[in-house]
Amino acid sequence: KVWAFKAAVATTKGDSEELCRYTISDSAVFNSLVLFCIKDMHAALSKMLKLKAPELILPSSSPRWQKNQIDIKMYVAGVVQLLSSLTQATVIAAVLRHANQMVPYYLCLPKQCRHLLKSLIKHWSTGEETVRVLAFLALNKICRHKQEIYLNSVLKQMYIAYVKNCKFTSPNTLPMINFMQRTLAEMYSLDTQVSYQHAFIYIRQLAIHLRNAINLKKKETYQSVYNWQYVHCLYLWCRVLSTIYPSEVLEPLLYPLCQVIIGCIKLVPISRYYPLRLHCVRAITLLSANTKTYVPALPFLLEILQREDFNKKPGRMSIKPINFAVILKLSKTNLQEKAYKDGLVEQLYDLILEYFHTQACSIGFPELALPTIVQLKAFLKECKVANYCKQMRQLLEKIQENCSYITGRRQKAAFGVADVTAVAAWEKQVAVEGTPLTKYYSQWKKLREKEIQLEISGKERMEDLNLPEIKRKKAEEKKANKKEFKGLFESDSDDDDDDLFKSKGKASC
Amino acid sequence: LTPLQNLFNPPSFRKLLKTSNLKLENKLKNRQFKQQSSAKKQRKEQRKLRQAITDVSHKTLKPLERYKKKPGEEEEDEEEFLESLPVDMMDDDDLEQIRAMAKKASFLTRDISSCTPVHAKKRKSEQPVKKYEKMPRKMQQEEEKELIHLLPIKDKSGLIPQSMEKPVVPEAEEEEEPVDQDELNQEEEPEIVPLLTPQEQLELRAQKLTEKKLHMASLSSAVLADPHVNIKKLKELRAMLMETDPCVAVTVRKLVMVSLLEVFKDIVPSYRIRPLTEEEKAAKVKKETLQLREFEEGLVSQYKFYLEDLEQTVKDWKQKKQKRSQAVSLQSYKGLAEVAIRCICDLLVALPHFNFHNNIVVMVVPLMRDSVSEMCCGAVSKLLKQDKLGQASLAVVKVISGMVKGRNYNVKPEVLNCLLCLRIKEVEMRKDTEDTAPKKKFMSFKEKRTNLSRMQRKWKKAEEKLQKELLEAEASESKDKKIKLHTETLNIVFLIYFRILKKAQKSILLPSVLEGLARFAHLINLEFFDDLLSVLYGLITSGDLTYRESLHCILTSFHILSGQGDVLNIDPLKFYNHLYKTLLTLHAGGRNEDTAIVLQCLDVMLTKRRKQVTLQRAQGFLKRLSTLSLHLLPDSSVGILAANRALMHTFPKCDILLDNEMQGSGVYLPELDVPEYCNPQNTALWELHLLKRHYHPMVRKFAAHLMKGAPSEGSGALSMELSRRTPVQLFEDYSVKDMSFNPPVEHFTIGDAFLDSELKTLINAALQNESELTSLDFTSQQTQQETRMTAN
Repeated sequence: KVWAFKAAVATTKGDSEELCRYTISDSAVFNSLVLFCIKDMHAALSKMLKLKAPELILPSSSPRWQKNQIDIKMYVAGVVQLLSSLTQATVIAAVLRHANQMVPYYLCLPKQCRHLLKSLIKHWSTGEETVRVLAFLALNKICRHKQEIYLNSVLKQMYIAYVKNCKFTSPNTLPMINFMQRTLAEMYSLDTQVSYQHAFIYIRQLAIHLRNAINLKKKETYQSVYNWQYVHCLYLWCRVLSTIYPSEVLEPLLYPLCQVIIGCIKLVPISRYYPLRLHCVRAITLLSANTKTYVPALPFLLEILQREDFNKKPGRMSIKPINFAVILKLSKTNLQEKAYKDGLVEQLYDLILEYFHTQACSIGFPELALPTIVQLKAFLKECKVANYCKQMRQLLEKIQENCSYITGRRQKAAFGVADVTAVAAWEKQVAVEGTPLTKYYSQWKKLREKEIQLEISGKERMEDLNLPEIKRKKAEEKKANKKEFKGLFESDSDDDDDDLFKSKGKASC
Repeated sequence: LTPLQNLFNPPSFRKLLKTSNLKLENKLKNRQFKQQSSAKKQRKEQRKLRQAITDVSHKTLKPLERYKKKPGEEEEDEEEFLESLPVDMMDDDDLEQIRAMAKKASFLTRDISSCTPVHAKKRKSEQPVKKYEKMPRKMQQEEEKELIHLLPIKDKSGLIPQSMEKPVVPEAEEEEEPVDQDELNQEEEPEIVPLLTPQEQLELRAQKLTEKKLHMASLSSAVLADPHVNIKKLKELRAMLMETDPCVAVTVRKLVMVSLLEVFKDIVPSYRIRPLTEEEKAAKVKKETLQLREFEEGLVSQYKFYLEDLEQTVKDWKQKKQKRSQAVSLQSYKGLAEVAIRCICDLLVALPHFNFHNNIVVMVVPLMRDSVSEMCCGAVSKLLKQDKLGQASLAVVKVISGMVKGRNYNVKPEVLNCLLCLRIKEVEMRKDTEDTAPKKKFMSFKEKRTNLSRMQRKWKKAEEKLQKELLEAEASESKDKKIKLHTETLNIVFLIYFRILKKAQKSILLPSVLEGLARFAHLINLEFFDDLLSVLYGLITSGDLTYRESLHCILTSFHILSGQGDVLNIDPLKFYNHLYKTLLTLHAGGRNEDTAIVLQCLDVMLTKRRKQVTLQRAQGFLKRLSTLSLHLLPDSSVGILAANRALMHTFPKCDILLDNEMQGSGVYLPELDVPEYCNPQNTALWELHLLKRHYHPMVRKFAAHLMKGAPSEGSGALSMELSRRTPVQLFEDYSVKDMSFNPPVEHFTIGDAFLDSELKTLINAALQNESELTSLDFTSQQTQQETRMTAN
């Protein structure tokens, strides 16, 4: 076994440096070797070191470790090198899977581990979906087991990678960014103390940017706040704080974060930046829903309703609906389109409903809803577009229904305002029983999700129509990839090994 | 003047009776003179000390820097000037003492970086004196006559043996000498070689500029060193305003303007100089007085010319005329005029007591509507804020009034906003009381004769005389006079306001008018109240106003009503309803600044008028305000909640809003716009529970406090500092305008994260054990992690 292992080490080394005893000239041999390593190396190593089944025992505890340390080191370094030199997603995924198995070995070898982390973070932030997931798993594993050494730097690097990679947002990249947010939140939940330090520094950074923008009042400084990176960072911290909610350590950060978000909304409150405002409100909603914190968000939505003149005939007709999820700023022509107003009303409906849903069981709901009710009534009086009126009337009805429900219930209650525990119990009870709004919301949510699904598929169909040119580009890219591989492998056997990887990937999934 | 009065003990009556009036007068005068002179001495000592300190700190400056036109330099010079005067009036031991003190101070404050020891100064001071003696001879070679015959005089006056700042002046002179000689050489140069390469021209220009700068510096420092003697140099300096050399004209003119400004600021006396009458001119006077008169005359005339020059510059710029020699191109006029305007504005603020101030006002006010309005408005506001006498304010207000009317209300709102800076706190309300008051003091002769005995009369007479004298001794700014001026000023201000309200309701000035009315409402004359109120109400109901303006209307009317207006029988119900109705226009998305006015309104309308407000109304407002605070930015929320606290204190019966019991009939109608009829007694302040979960710590605090019924003591009470702040102050304290975090976000490091001390010890113990149980630790953490992940 050790012989084969040594040979493998040499080959992995050889493929990148070609300075070894064995030079692999035949790509078929190379492929089979790599394949073998990935398949069996872990089992072979553990057998060799006489490790027992549970993975979490460090291999360095084995009596044979000293003897084999150098070989393992070489092999492990080779894997990292291989990982960084590969470009095809499926291949990377397979190697990553192997690296995942090998994590205990890396943990014993700090230098190699650092290299591995670096390339893992790169794959986590830029790779394709499965690659990202696998990279995250490995990262998480490493950080969980050697928190005190790696967590700090990993978190920092991951955050930087996140910021770097959320510069542009499109329907394609949005899921990736969401994934990064979620996984980063997981990483931050490993150690709240460390996360507090990070969050404090980065939220303060955001606040400083905002303050500069407020004080200088120049276009460039606005730009430093009104961009995707900033918004995604706000969203990330909202997500982090709401994922790790019942945490005494992180709770003090709610206040500055909310202040920064609201300050961001109020920086340039013009209609062209409505999409950005909607993003911010969404972040607030997420935060206040999960952390039981009250953050006023409705005024910012109602202000839009109040300021925008929906009666005005749209200047331009357009076919394409505006996707508010992937824009921050509207162009001037956009503002005149019908699609803009349609989209805006829809967004307002969604967000108001969502926000009220988060507070639906609160005992102060009627007070919370009062300005909205007044505003909606005024809107219905003014507005003459039947479509918008229909939506808003529905919303109004639902809110009023919930209002009267809460009012009725709390009137029967026997406790006074000062009785905090009784109120908490009451709210819990209401939440369990459900209010009209929560019921409606769950129905609506299902419908809405279906709608979004339909929309997406519709878009795909649209893309199908436009496909020819896009496909050609992709095909070219693939060809280029293949060429590279050919240069390396010097054979066309890569196709079948691709298939192998795929099948294996499926099996493991 | 209070110390003077305190020190002066009135003589006993017996003494008064015995001594004749003449003696008494003499005695009084002597005493006053003594006190004055001792006060002077004290002041001088202090000044000396200060000077010594600054002198040492300035010592480290490089000599070249000194010659750049900086205001700081002038200040330094000024102190020299002050220093040079009073020495002869001092006692010798005083001087010694001061010197000792000065040395001490210099030793303490000496800059460590300067390598020269303190004693080196003595040596230095000898050298310049030697050089000084040569100076007249050198100067004779030069063509500039005035310099020549003036400098020796300066030497004489400046020769104070061993004074600390002595070296500074001669050093300055040292620097000048070589340059002056160079100047002669270079002035000939351009005539010989008129055509130069651009680079050479630049160099030449720089050279010329430095020359001129040095010249200016020497002139102005000479004037500052001894203004009484060197007043003629001022003329020379002013002549430089007419600089004709085209390549440096603009810069030089600007520099001269600014340096003249600083010089004038420093040498102008603290009194107004009046022209001499014929008699005075004819009368023979002492030498010193003559010198003083000459100085004053020269100063006034130079100042006048200077102002005229400035005015001319501004005028030229406005009329786009190319005049005053071809030295200055049309484009650079703007810069030149801007500097001139800045100078004028500075003078406006700095010398409100001096001659020609009215002329300056007349010059500045029309400029307030031009492109330079920001500067001018700023200067005027500053003047109004600083003005203690009221005379300058009156002048400004008069001119503004004329302008507003003359322009047919077509002026910038900033002009009227300046008026908000007026420092007027009281005016005479009724003339009758004012007139009768002073008369009581002095009885008529007849009364005295009938009422008092001989002895008493004599005593009284003496007393009155004394009092009169004291009054005269007091500065002219007596309270009566001030109030009279203020009254006149305010009358004009209101005239402006009322004119606009009547004639130009649609103009852009309306907001500032309303703001001004709200500010000075308590000073409005009773006669106008009825009309004003109806006008204001008309404005509110017309619906043309913005929210802020209508708030100002409400605030104004309640200020009127809360002052002397309480005699009027007007029902302000409409105003209450209007405020109640519009409260919900305030929200986090809109303007946050309006909250301050709302808070003021609430204070005037509810807390201050508690007797006229029904409980229903108070409750209605309380409920709506609580609801409102859900939808505001945190600073406004804190302000509103604090106002609610005040409401709960003034109307203790409001605590039924904390109970959940039905009182009487009806249900709460939150959407109704009349506070009386919305049945507020049948609801409760449930929104406090939402506010208790607010993200802002201060809002949470206030909500919890209100929930307990706003107790002033006990566990639910606020801290002393918080409970003392007014709602408006709290609103300002927690302002979120510039992203400042108040209360600050506490940043703790890992070790100190836990406030609980027990927990801390536990953690420390755990941390120590960790090194041994590494493997165990991993598994436990892992299981935790997994459970958490599955939960998600």
